[in-house]
Amino acid sequence: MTVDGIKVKWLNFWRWCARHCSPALLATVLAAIIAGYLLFVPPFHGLADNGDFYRAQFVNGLYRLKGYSMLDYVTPKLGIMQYYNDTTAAVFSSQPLFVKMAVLLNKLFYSKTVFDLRFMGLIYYLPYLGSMYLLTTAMTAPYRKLRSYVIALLIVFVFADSSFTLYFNSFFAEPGMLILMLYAFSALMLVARRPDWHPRLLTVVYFVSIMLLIANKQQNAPLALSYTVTSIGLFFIFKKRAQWLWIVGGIVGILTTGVLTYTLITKQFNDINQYQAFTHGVLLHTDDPSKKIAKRGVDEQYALMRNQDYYPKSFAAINPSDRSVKKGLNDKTSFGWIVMYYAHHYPQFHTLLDVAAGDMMITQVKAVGDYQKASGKPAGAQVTYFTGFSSVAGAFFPQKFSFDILLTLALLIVFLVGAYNDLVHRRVVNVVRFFLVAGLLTVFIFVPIISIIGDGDADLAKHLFMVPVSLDLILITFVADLLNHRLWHSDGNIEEDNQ
Amino acid sequence: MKKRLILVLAVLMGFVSLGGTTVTAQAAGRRVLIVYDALNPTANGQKKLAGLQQVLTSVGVTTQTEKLSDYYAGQLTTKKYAGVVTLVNWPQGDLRNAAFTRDRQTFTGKKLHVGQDLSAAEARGLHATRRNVYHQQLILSADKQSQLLPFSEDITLLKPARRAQNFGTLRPQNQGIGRYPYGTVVGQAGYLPYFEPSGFSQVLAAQTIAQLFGRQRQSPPLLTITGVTPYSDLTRLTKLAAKLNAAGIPFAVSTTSVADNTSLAAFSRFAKALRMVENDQGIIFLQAPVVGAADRQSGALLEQTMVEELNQLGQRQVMPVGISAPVYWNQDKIFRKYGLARSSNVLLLPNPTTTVFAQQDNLGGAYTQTWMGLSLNSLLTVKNGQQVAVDRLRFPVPTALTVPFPTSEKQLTATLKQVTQLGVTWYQPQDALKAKITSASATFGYRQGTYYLNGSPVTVGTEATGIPKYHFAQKRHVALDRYFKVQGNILFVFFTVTTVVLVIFLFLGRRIYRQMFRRK
Repeated sequence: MTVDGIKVKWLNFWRWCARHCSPALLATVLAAIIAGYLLFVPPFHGLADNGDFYRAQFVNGLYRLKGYSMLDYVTPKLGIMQYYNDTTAAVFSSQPLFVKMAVLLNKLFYSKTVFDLRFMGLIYYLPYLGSMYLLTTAMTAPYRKLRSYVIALLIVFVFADSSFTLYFNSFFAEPGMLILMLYAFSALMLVARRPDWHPRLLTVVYFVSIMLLIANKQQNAPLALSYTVTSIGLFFIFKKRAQWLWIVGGIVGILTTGVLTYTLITKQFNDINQYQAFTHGVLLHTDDPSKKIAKRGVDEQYALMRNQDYYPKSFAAINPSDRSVKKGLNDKTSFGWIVMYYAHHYPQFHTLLDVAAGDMMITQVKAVGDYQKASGKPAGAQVTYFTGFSSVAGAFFPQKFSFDILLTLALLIVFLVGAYNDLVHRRVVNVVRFFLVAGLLTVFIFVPIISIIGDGDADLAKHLFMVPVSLDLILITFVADLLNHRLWHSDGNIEEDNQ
Repeated sequence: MKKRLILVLAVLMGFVSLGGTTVTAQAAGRRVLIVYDALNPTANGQKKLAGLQQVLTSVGVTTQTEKLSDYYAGQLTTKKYAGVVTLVNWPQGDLRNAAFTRDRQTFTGKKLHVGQDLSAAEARGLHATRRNVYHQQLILSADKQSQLLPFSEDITLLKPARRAQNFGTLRPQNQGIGRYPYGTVVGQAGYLPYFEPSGFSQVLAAQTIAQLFGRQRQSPPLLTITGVTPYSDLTRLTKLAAKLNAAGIPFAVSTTSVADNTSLAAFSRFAKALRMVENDQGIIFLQAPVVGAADRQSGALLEQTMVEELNQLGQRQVMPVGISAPVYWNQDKIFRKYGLARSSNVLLLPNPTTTVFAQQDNLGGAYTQTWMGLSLNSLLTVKNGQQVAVDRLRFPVPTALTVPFPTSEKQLTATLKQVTQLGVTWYQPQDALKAKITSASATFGYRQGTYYLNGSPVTVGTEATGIPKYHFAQKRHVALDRYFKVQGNILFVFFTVTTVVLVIFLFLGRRIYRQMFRRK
């Protein structure tokens, strides 16, 4: 067979493949295999209890069986309460929706008394695959070129990373946030790029996802503002006044959800966050803080609480929930106090932001184990399977907040040029994309600041969860649009290009 | 010379360790078994149990606590136990364990029954007859002091028997019923119809128990300020100490401390306040830390915490003379071993509302001198006629009368006024107290008002001496950290330069583009 013959055969084969398997399907199937193996094939993996799971378990009628492991190992089975459950939700959240569904599925298909953690994973896994499909479609459609498949592989490399999918087999609220974000992002991009493909339905998907996302965790309340920015693009797509009314309604809905989520934070949570914002923020990364806090009206003795948790992990000189601490510390160090403190000690705040910048791309929860006890792994062992992206990003992303600001400016300029060009040529796609990226960049910049002021460096990596998700989405958009020649003009066409 | 010194040291060490082992062997060999029917929280059952454990430890006996349903046949008759205490918390439950009833009957050691449900056989052992009294409020009195007890539902009283030693009397308000003994000891058997872990009841119960187990050790009470922490108002603490000293009242302060952040100015200030307490004739009990979470592996961490707390204080001439802890610490293997056992003086305080154990074994240890913490407030209603009669009470075991650290200036004045007006002859640590605490390689001592560190006397001044200077700029060294820092800077510069170049190019490009269309 001649070289040309091989070439023709290869081309035919390639066309056959491309006809039968779209990039989106490829990404979905790969993600299904990679995540499915991690989550469902025994001994399956997940994330161990960090001490917060009880909030999601007891409210939803689950209890711990004997041998329940904290921190070190994933506990595969839980009990389902057979009696009246009088626990009420400690926090307002949309997370119980997911857990309740998982319990329901478990009862239907497995057991009425024992809960298998994999049902929790399944509840996230299925919509996750859908979101991967939508995201890849939004990034590659309408092409099926080689580069489209490269983009699909990149999406799998980033979003099928085990540091994300491990969350599925756990009672953390993060998987819901990840999936909802993927849906919201893809829906908005698709509405812009394929206005003839269910635009109204996708807009509804966008708004519902954003609202559920905000309601998923109290710390997401401020994100309502960011997602208001991302929603502005919709005004360019829908031109009729009546449609604008609906969009305004959606935005009001987002803001209301944000306000509700914020106001429904319980007193206890406020106390915890306020305490840790002080002990894990104000007191850190400074020389002796004793005199500094004394100057701002707090007894200098509280400097000794540096690095203390609200729930002491072992031994402590005083119980932080003690009335005297509330009177002497919590009542004095309000949100405003902390802001003023940092305003007077900016270098310290900057150092804390650099700490946050160093932590933000580390998505794998290192504090808890990923394996079951039966696996024979040491306590707290971490999965390394398919964590290429998160470990590279975690190790090489610069640990400087100033860098983040510069990166934000650079990205804004790039996407602004695209938006300007589209505006001049009366197109909308890149305008929508600009507002979407701008909204996500506000997450990138402001979430670290809010986290430091709101809770110090306690649980920082988890509070920053939306930061890497947002940045990864921007990164993928950037690369995909560059490859598809759509970065500067939305009418870029690669059909004429060679493969 | 050196060899001889080592020899002497070795011999000394041998003696010390020998002494230690004999005490523990003796203690471990003959425990007192406490058997309780139920915790019954509605009737403060846990507190009663803890109170009993506290009194028994103060008397100097080691205990083992067992739930009635967990008792197995033959446990008592193995000669492992010096005595048995039956605590009935929930008479309505009518809980029985036939094996226990039988074994108790044949048991030849000391027997004490606390609470209701005294059986006929037990009464016979006390050579007395029972009398049940229903729905009465009783007055507990001894000598000329008396205290009104809370309303009790039912109570089983004993007709006084001959050959019995009685401690206090119970007199119902209804005069027609007559007087009955409170604590009764007849030979090897004893009875307390009612027990309250505070007030006059605890004092008289301690007398009964001390008599029964043969270890009366009368001493004046020690005034003890509890609830001090490094976060307390230290100015108020020093003021309180100065005022007490001026009034000639020796006292103790029970305070927690921290193991971390000791290089901060706040810690020096805390240590300085405690030195002022020491200079005002106050002694210091280091209070065991609050337990957030603990398990069987917590031993090393507790050891480290305690040693660090003691050494950091010791370096600043704050020399605790004992360890204070809630009663439940003495029922936990880890807490006992790494927390309490390092000290010859242990002060046991009532339990907090939540108790977190590391390894609960319900085996109460005994120490050279165990102080029974008893709230002063609970004794203020013990009256002699109209007079507060705390000064007339006789304490059969080393007792610390506790006063919570005042939380306001107003409370401070009130506390001072109250304490100075009592007229109690307080315990003088400067004369009577001998103390020793080991903290890793260091030994803290206290004898006749002098503090010793590793055997040599220590002078306590206002300023601490001999503390190493701390450098606050502590740098964290992480592998590759510097690399990342450099890399971050490089990228920072790179992006700045690129942005500038980009802007210039944009500008230039625009000019070139425009010139292409300009007519020449």
